[in-house]
Amino acid sequence: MKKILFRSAVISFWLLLLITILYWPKITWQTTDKNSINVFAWGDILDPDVVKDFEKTTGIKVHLNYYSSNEELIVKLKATHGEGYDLIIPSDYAVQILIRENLLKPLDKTQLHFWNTLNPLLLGHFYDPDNRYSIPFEWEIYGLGIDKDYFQNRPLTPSWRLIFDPNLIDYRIGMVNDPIEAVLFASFYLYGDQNNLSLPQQYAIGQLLIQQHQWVAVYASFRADYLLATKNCPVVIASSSYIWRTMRNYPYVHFLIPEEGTFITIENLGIPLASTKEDLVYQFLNYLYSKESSAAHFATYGFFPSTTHAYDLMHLDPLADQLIHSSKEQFSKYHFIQELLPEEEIRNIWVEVKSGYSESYCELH
Amino acid sequence: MKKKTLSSEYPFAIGIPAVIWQILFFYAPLLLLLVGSFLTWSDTNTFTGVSLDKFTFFFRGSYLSVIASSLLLALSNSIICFLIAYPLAYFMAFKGRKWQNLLLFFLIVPFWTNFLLHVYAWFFVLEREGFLNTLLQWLGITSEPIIFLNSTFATMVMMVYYYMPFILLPMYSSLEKFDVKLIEASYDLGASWLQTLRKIVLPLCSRGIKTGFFLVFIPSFGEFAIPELMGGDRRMFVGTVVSQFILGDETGSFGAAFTVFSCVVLLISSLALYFFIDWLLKPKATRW
Amino acid sequence: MVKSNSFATICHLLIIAATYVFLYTPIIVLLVFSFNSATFPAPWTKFTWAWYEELLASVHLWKAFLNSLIIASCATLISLIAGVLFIFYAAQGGKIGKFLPLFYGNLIIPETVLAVSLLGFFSFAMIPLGMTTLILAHTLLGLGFVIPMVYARFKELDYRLTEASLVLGATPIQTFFKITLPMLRPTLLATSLLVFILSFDDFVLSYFCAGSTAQTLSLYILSMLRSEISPVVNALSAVLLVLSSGLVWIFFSLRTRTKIF
Repeated sequence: MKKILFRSAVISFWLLLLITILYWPKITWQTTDKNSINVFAWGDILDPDVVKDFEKTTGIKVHLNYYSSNEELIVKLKATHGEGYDLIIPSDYAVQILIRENLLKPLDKTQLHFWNTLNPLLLGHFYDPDNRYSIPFEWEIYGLGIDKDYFQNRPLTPSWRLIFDPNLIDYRIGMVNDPIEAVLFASFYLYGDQNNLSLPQQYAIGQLLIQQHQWVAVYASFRADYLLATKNCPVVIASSSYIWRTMRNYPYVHFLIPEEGTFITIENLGIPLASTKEDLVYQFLNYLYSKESSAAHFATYGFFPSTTHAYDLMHLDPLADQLIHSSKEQFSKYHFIQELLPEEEIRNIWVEVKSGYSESYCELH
Repeated sequence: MKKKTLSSEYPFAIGIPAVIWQILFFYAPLLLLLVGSFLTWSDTNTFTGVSLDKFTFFFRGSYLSVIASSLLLALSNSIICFLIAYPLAYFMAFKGRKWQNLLLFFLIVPFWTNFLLHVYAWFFVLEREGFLNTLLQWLGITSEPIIFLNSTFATMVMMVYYYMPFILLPMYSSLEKFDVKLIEASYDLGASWLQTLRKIVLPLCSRGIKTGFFLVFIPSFGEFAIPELMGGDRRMFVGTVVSQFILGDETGSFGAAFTVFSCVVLLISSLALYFFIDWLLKPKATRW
Repeated sequence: MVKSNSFATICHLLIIAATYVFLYTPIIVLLVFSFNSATFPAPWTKFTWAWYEELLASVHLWKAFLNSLIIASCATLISLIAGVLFIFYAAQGGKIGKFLPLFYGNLIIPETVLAVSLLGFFSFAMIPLGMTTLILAHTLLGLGFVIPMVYARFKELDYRLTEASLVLGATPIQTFFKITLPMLRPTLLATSLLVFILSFDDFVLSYFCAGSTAQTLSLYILSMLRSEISPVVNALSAVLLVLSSGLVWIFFSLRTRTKIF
């Protein structure tokens, strides 16, 4: 009997020790470095040199953590109730979700000295009409990356048909790897700007994507420019920043906006509700939106900045110049990325496309 | 006769953490995974009951086809690895004794380097303007670059490249302990090289073969990084689906159910394969 | 010596040669291009050390490298200590044979399943993901190696040596530390190397259990593979290859000197 008691005590001791070690980070979370901020961002959105300069100038340490999708950001933020991060970079629709979940802190615009340099076209959109919680940081436009050499002797119309029309396609294409975007583009190609899709329409979208699968060389948003540069695919659908990075080095890489219309994303900066370091974050923001920083970000990553005062510092090619100086009218024709179907439906379609198995939707429902 | 006092229990106190660790962090999570895939919760997070809903959700062509793809990948990978590794192991064990250390060394060095770097290295070889295409064009065999990457071929190349040492080492270690005199005796009694192989050598090292085979088969089933990077992410495998569900929002329990479901399939196929290989390697005279 | 059939020998040699060409072509190409001044897919331009310099200057990479190093060392250390303590219990006559099969599962199940179940467990218990959870996960892998291997070797030890030590008046603890452990040392070292490498190169567990704070080398390389192809990765591969060659060499010198397993 004594033996069993003793053994139980020993086991409890070890368990306690282990549990303490496991929960230690949670306990010590609050007492970490006071003069620092935790930034949760995309992998390739914040220029490390700019961040380093900021740290050197102000002495505030910036801890960078990465996520690879808005969904990951939302899941992680919900799980920790916004604790642990002082600055996040959600895309447009993600801001709306975060506001709804009460995870963002209202901004004190008096602390932000750059507000009047922001491009007014990027403000006041559906996700945050008064920009109370978010500041646009950069924007990109979706389009077709083209290998000019391939189309020298072939007709070229800037259109979604280049990636969806079976009569036109006898080459390999690069497609986005995000099911939400894929469904959206397919729907736009078939039905134009439409929100409520009927069941037969959903089925048609699935079938279109399945048909497209045979021409796709790679499903990768990230490596689009590489595919063009290595001449693996003459046509790639990607967002502008990926193409602009390569356009400088490879003269045969070109970017076209589909004539039927296209989509944009605006990446925004927001402060999670649970953050206690807004003053430090505001310092960082003021630094991030300076002329030099905006120009540096365009040079490194190829996105269009949200500030308007850096254009003289940036080396803008004619197309970029045209896009950046889009008029209000032109801008209103650009659509935002949105989830056209419930997540489950989109996921099912995507698995269908990539599993190589075709199935009738209408029979299931 | 050792006195059974409390102080004689101290070895237990010291030795037990390994077991505690194992149970707490290996078996408990697995149990949680298993149980979690059966339970259902309502929208307000109250427990509603036990159901197989999450499993039946995956009883549709696309998901079953994903599992089938993984099985096929694992099987073909294991077979190809075996066909390449066995002659190598045979040579190292019987003919190349003096070189075996050197051969093993050069085998393990890539094995002990991060596999993502190997994926990266293969880009250089298989790309359109990569090493292989340049070589073929230089030799005059082809005039146009062949697209190697982002295909099943590239995926299989990398899979074999990565998993080959897993099957080689157990086979080699069991062949190393092999009694060469048995082979000599077989030759003396008039058997051909092929007969000796299938009646003496293979059956006696079947344990090593089986270990190696499953050391490749089972992990290959869960592989998703290599098809994504080398195959252009054109096809979904069990690992891809699992990571999408697990890392998604509120779909974690579905991911758990799919994991459990795939594991069951894996277990059944592994058992079937095990008995099949056993049967195949038996030296009965009436078979191949 | 086995009667050699010359046809079979030639076949064998061809297969050996082909296998090693297969194994090393990508590595050699990778190394060569780490010195190329132009980025792939441009062909060879001129020799340069520039990428190695950039490698040394890359702060994020070294942070990831350090993280992987810390995780691997801790995981190796913990599994080693746990294993040694476990063997201690066995050395004092504890019946651990029945506990041993518990550890076989770690290497049998696909890593994805292990990672997924751990992730579920951590979310359920609300344990914050990070370095701690990674070390924990990797230790599981380590235990799966250490315990079966060390126990197998332990069983093979000549029990008369320990008996003699006890008879000559040493306490069980002294016997363990002065006799048993030194005899187990080559095995312990070899398994530590194995576990270290396994943990350092691990990808699947890091992918699921790292959370957003811990960036390991594997995850860093993955993010680089997914975005830009840069010769800095080539330089990194060269460095890591040299490192792993060193470790393999140590492993081999252990193996040839004494029996490990």
